[in-house]
Amino acid sequence: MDRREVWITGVGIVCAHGDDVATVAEAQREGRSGAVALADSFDTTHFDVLAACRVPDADPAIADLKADFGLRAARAAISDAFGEDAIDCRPDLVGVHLASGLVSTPVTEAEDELLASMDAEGRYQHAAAAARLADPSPWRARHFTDRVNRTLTTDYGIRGPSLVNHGACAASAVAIGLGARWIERGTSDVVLAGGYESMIHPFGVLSFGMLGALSERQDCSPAEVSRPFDATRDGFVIGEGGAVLVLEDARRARARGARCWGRVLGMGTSMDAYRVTAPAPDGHGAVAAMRQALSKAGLGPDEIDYINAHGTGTPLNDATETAAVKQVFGGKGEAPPMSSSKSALGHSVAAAGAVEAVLCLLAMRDGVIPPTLNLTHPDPDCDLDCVPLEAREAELTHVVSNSFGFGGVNCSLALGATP
Amino acid sequence: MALITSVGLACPLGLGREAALAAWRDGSSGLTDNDRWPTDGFPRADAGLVQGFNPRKQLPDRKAVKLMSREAQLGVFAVVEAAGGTDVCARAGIAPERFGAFAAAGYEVSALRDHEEMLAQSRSDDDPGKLDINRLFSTGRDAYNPLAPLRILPNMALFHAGVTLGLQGPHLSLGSSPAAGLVALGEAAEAIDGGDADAALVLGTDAQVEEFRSQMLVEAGILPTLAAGEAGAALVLEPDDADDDDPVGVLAWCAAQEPTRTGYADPADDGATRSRLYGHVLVLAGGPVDACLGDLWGDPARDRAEINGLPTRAELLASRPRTGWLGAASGILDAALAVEEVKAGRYDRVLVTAAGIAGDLAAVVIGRSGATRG
Amino acid sequence: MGAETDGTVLDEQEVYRRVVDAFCEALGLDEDEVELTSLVIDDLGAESLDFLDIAFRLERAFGIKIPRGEIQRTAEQKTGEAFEVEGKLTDAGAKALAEALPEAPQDRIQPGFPVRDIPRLFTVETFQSLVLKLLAEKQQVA
Repeated sequence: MDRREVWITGVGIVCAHGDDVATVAEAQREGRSGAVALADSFDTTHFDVLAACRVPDADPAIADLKADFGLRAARAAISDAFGEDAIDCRPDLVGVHLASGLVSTPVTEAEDELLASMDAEGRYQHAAAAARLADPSPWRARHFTDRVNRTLTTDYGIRGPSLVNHGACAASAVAIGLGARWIERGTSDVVLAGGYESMIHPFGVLSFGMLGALSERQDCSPAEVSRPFDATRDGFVIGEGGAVLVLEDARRARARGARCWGRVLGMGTSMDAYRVTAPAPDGHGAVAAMRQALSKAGLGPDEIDYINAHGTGTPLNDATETAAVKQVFGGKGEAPPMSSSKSALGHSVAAAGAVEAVLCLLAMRDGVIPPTLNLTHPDPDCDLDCVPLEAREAELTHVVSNSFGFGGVNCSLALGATP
Repeated sequence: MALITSVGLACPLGLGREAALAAWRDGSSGLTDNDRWPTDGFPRADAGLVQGFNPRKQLPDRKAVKLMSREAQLGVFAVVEAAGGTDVCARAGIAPERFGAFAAAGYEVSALRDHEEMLAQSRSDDDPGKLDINRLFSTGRDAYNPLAPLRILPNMALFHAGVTLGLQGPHLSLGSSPAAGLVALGEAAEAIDGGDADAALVLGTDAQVEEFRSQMLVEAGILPTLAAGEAGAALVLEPDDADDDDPVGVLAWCAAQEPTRTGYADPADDGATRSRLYGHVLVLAGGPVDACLGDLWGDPARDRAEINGLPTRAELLASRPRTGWLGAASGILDAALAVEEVKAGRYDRVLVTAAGIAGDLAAVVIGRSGATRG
Repeated sequence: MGAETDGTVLDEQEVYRRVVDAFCEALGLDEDEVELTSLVIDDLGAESLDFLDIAFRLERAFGIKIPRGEIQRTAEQKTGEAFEVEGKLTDAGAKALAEALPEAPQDRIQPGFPVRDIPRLFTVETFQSLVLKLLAEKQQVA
């Protein structure tokens, strides 16, 4: 059977630029940073991290922010695709594939659940915990990483496959790529694909900080901390948010007169089989993922007009990614322009792949390549055209979005403009 | 059709394929007293534990053990057994980038032993029931092993399996659901049938015995009907030109979502969704099955929707009452048991089913390769 | 759990035992595989992440705080700005580093040695010496 064509007919995004597509597109075009002081969220006197890219209108009363971002993005995408808060498709032909990351424990819940069960020496008292089991616990409920899938499938009466992807920083890109394959194969006609994340709480930033992944730069404003591909980069800035795409069988979408945001042309995935926190130095995994995405899309390297880099701003990632892009697309002057959205929005981990896929769709729609902010001291090891500081107008027909995760799990998506 | 060419198991029925399959055949139970933590006041005192497992002695890279959560450790044991050693790519003559890995895995909710000291050192001086954030970022941080976060990243079972065997091909990392395990198996079969990989490892691994996850199972209504359990189960898939004198493989697979109410199948649905799903997968497989193995708990109320959904005239088998809730490992364990049933000649085709807490369903038909050839 | 080092003077034997224990735990080794002269990377198989774990275990075992990059910093302070040029040790840098790491294989510490490979010179004794130094400082403070 021929592969069916996959359209993106709806988009929902929640990120540091806001939660409506027009605002996000404008911020990209103007090269604005979404970073704010981490100290606005909690006391960082003893934590050497300056910046975070927070969702601006996040309601502090919502304990499960991560799920809230996922649900907001999904509902927005559904409304965008179908013009109402319902999915116009046979329920068993609608699938869900959403990425979710590490479980979040807010400080108050650690107090209510953990400290409350510990004795004076800090030993966990199982009997005390068992005694509280009869009471419902938001902390336990939050640890079901399928809770957003359950809410969505219940609210919208979805009866197709429903998956939770845990592929780290590549997770939501894989969710989109696999969702597209379901449509190509005819398993589903409509798939909600994307991811959501919020790690901007003390335990979350502590974990990333202890792994040495976060920038500890203090000598600048929060907006200037994230500097992918710059010689002075020293780690990423934590971000948060959610993004969901409505993927749809193109023939069906055309028949119902749906708007097309763009197309998912192909996905490539690979494993480094190297280290947990470092990419393989020769970039073989990243190379394989990009080549496979191109091959699935039936495109040559010279047909790609823009690369949305993984571009975290850690010393290793950006140099390795540059080397890998060169192997696939050629060196400076040959490879297409590449920029890092994490310079503006930080790294939203499990949500990053989906957020950046939306940014790619906006870039193709508007003919605007979003810039890499704070790239003022180019690193000789990152010498491709990284679109420093200012957005650039360009006609974009095919783009590649990279997502490379902890544990060396890689995913590249090839996306196409509206036909 | 993708063939299942080997199996690896670390489950309550036994550590290692032979021990586990022998226990499966003789009908013994893998449930024992839970000696991992005090169960006073907890709804069940037993659990499905993997016995006799010493990760530092039985896993190939003992240094890596400290980076692994329990599910990663069980998973690596299972994948090494399924692969017949860590040099599988060289031995099978498969390029590492053509060998994929498809996993469903649990995630450590909280490495309690790592966190106890950190939290104790983060307590407020004024109120020991409260955390002082400045202490968390100083004395608490000093008492927290910097590598502990690596154990609670949710895709680490896939990473450790891949790095242990040196696999560089396509990957998928799904969550802690029995159905997700079967989807990983289905997607691995698609990758092989579609030419994206020359071999694929499928892993389902989970450790639901840990105290917080057992508490979650109470919240989900699984405990006390089922006990909590832990297991790693792995399969190797290859194309059907593989050199296998008794080829058994994945004939068809399918997934769906059933209506749920507070974590259980909605009684109003009463198995209708399952019936449609199982009917569909049998159509895809090209005919009926002899046996069904999967989401049966041995509890009439809970099993009603499943029995209503299953085809009649097939024998019903179940591992869950003998292993406990194995999360992501249940589906792959059952797939491995189905392979054993077919290879032993008891059945030609087995329908394996699985259901997750969120109402996610999956079904796979496992049978002899010739069964649908035409 | 932190060891009760306050008020107790640890003899060198006990310090050695706890250092070996930290290496065994961090690197998954048996006691008889760890010697004072073992190179932590080349002989014991440590990777960069393992250094975080080793330092954490030593800190907990002795109630000390090990500043990251301490050994290299000591050598750098001795030589001032001329410690390295473009990531390679200068003559003075090599001399200072050899003094800072008397237990390391001295023949490997030559001008031109890559600074990023300095951890390859660390032996178990490097860490034991650091622990002894920090314990001595702590007692002076106390």
